[in-house]
Amino acid sequence: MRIPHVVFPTNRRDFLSKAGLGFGGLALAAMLADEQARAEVPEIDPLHPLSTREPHLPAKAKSCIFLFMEGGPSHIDLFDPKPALDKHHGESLPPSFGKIFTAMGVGGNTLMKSRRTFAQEGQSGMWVSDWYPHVAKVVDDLALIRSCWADGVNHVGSVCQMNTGSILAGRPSLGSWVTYGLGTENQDLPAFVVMNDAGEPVGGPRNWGNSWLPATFQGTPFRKDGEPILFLDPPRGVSDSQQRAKLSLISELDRRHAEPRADDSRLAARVAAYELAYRMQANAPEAIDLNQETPETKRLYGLDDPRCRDYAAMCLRARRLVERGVRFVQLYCGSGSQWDAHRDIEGNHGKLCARSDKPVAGLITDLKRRGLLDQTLVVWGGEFGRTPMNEKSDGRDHNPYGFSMFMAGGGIKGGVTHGTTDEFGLRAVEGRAHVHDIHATILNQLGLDHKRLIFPHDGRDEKLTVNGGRVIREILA
Amino acid sequence: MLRPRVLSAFAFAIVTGGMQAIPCMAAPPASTEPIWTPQQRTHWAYVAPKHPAPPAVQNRAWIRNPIDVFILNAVETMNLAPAPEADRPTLLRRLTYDLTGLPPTAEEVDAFLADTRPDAYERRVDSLLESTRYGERWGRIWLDLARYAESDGYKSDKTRPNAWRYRDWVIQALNADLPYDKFLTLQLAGDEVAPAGNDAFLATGFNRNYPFEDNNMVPGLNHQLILDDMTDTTTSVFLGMTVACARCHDHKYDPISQKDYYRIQALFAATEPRDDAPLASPFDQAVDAFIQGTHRERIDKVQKALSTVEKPYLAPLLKDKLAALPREVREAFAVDPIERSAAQEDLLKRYAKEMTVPPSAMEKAMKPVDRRLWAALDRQRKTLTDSLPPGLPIGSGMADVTSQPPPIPLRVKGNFALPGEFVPPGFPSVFAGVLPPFEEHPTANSSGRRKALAAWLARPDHPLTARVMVNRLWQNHFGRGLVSTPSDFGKQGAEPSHPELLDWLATEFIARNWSMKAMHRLMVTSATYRQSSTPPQKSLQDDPENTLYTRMFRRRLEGEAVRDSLLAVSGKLDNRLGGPSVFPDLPPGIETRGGWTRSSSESDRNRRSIYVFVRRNLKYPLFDAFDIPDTNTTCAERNISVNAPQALMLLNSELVLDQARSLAGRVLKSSIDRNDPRTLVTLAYRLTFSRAPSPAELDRGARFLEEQPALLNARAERSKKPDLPTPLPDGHSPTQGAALVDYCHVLLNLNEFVFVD
Repeated sequence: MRIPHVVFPTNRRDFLSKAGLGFGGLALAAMLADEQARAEVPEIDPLHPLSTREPHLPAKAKSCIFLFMEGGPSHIDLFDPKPALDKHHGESLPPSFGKIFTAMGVGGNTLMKSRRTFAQEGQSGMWVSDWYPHVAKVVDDLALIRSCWADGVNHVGSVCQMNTGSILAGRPSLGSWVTYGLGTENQDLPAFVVMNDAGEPVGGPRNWGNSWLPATFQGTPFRKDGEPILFLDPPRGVSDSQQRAKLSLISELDRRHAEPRADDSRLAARVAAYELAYRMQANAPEAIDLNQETPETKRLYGLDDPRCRDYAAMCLRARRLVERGVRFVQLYCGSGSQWDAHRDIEGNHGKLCARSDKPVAGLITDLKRRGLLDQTLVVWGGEFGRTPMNEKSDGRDHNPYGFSMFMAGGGIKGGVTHGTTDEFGLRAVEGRAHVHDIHATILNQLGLDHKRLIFPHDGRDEKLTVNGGRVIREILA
Repeated sequence: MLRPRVLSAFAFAIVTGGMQAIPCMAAPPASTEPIWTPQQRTHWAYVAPKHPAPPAVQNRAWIRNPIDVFILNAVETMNLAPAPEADRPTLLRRLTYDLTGLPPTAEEVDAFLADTRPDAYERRVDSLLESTRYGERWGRIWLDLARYAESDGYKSDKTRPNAWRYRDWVIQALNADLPYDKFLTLQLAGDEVAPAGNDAFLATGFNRNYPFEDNNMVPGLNHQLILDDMTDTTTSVFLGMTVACARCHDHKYDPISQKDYYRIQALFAATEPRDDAPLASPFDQAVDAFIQGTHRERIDKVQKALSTVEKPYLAPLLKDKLAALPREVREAFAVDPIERSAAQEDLLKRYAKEMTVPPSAMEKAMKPVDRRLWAALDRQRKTLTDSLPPGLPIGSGMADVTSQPPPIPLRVKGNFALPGEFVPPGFPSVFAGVLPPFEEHPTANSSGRRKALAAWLARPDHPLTARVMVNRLWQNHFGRGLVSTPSDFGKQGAEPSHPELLDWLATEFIARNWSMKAMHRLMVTSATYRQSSTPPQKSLQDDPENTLYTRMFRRRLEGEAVRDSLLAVSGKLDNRLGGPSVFPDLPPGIETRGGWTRSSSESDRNRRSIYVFVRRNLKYPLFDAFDIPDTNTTCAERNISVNAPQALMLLNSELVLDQARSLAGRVLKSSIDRNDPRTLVTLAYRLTFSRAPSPAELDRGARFLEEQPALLNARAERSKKPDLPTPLPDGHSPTQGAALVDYCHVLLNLNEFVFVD
């Protein structure tokens, strides 16, 4: 495959899209000459780099809300009941399972039954434990995947993989790929928003980073208190009229500066970025203002319940954001690895399930009654599940070999239980769904073909799913 | 459902903790290596460059040096003409930013404009290349390639306290114009070529920059990841080859086999990190060891006495805490310290944090007589600890640990869990017959392999080394490499836009003893470089991508240069060279696991951006918005994005507002008439952009200064304090001062501030 060294753009838009990406864009432009790549590298309008782009496929969802239970929730105690565990409680795994490698070396520890009570819920009869009573009421909208698996054994690599596809640091996040591929519907708000309920997720901001994609596509953290976005408000209360006077002078001088430099679209793009920044100042606080919600809605999410108030506020804000056209929202529950129940799983998960149950169920219910669930893909899950073997007698270790996640809305078939783990819930067996498959499915619902969403980087056409990934068609409506 | 064979491969991967276990994995393939076709072996980049004769051109008057001949030849072939030369203030601004990363001062512009000697520009080039600012600017570019960071990354993101010494080594090497062949040799094999040299060892910090997951539990995997990182980075940076694909399979496009990958990897088989290399002289070390030793002995004695006093109180104080801990921990604690098993010691260490007693609680529990003794001892311990002399400087880098490296296995499909046949060390097979093969020459303590690699790379007949590097220099001067994919000279990469020029530069580079400064000088004194960036319409139409260099590119400043410029124009930039990294303020609400303890002195916080601590998991927010690369892998070319967070940061952050206040203070200080808006506008332009405002800019600025006070007064009525110039001269109106702050803030936000023509 040879790349000619002189690339003539075919039209102005084409030209702008190359010029606007600057250094990286020039390399990209060279790549664009390749006919096959041309069809697959999204065309970025430099003046509006986040404006919407045509999806590859008919999109089933416009937005995605990823509810990230950080630290690894136990599938065995929530969605994947194992009668064999009750029977073999206190025994070792049968030798046929071989030597099991886990983070804390619990491979030889005895099996531990779940203390939860499971019931079949809804029309579909999906199994859910008594830790998630509100989620149990919306099971007919969920597709439960009980056969997830991942590559990492510890948190940082696994959280990294659930966000970027690889356990090794240094690749762009799912939300960055999505906004790179699709842009966003609302030009007055960030395209990709991240919220944490507690500490920083392990690995830090790289989890919503752009890596080698342009910085425009990185996630924007919204803070719990004060100004939602870093530097959104003028410092120390500069008045609006004062700020406007400054902005109008900036704009006027910049336009004058750009006149003899009309060929450089980056100059105009920068003027547009200031306008967007100003609109964000007005729009972001409104978008997350919960005072505009009725008491009934607030109760639905659990805002009146101190056990789940924080996560409820995040879920309700997420609904307001997708309602306004934000493309990708990620909400960490237990951020900073709180679901990591190496001991006292009853106490740990009891608290975190109470924190997430009502808000998650409330979100799905609220989206549905507003007609938003059809266009919003909701994803629930952690970076891995937990072992059937005990740790420290009352906890469970990391288990990337088999765990559960669920999806709802956005073209997902409700009430489906897909895949299985083995009799103890250690390994995914039937319908195995790797993280790349989860990512491929999320992209697919948003209208992106994971094999065609590429970014040329250092001699490779990079993809979110690296070289893997299969859409889990069994859970699609 | 999975087929049984597949399942067993997968189960194996699980057992060994294998990553990337792929269900469709097949049995290890028989060991075959592709035979390269003549076409593959003669890909342009694998044939050594010859010194080309400059082509003929018509407009000979335009030519300043041979670069221009090659450029003009292509331009004339397309029936185009170069852009006119940029005016002198523009040239000086471009040149100063390009070579130092900073704007020229107004005085420097004046001096340059007053210098009517015909070689005034060349003299300026020389003096800028002599300035230590040069190493700070171009060092940063190299640090991108070297994936430089001062922490491990991943979960704990531990600090690497001596990583900065590699950064300083790079800056010094560039400032001293260390020839590139030596520059690369020391970075790859400093420990082997100069075993006694401190500086040579610090250079090996290049490969110590790998990210590291200290919580990785898969035995051996971390070492493999380090080997992969060194293999990928070294080949990418020095060879412009993307070998990483060959970790899992033969390269799809380039003649790089999977065996080649592990062949190169085997060159690093004996190499390990070394983080405790003493840099002081043996005499200083001996003196220090003696002082530290006696000091520590005294501390130990006091510590023992303290423990004896504490002992009877410890168990009751810990009772509640112990009760909450697992049984095995309690049992271990109960055992007399001397009798504890190693496992029990380990266990207690893991729970150490949960078993500490705060000094206040201890003090409270004690009998008065013990308390007095305890307090006296504790004071003594503190005095001794505080007076412990600071340790001697320690260096960090890579070194061979044996002359007999362990064999390196190929990893089937790149899977660590599936080691294949052993692969002996060697150079990429595509160069067989063109360059000499690898030979083992171990020394007593070292395998000698990296030294051999460096010598092979630094050969004057190597087809890639010089080309790759001159292309990087060109790329950073002209906005795009002659090969626009600077770390990929393979089939998938771009072909050179000007192949003869690339070869001319590469051969010239070697002929000029690999001097980077000589190449900078050639490039920036060319007529090509001096063109205006605002081109005639025809060049825009016929050369829209500027592939032919019919005009100069317009540079968008990197985040580091934006911050340095802000500090420079506010007069607050601290110009000290080198030393440990500094921690400027982080915006409120930003947290990080690894820690960010703000530097206590303002001058430290105002040092150049290259000295800002590089934490893998937390990019400094301003740099992040302006596309500073991820430090987990090498970066040859930054993105240039334009986005709203950049605008928010320049508009609303304390950092920029502070500089606006200082800039306003500077304007007022140097103004003869502080009440004349036109004088203030003129001075503000001079300090910010090193030029005078146009009449229209002068009018508009003066109008702003006259109108803004009314808005500020409206604000003052709501009892908000305005932002005042620092300092506000005695007797000057605060409202007028605040209006000037707003005006300076506007200037710092302009396109002209972040783009260089």
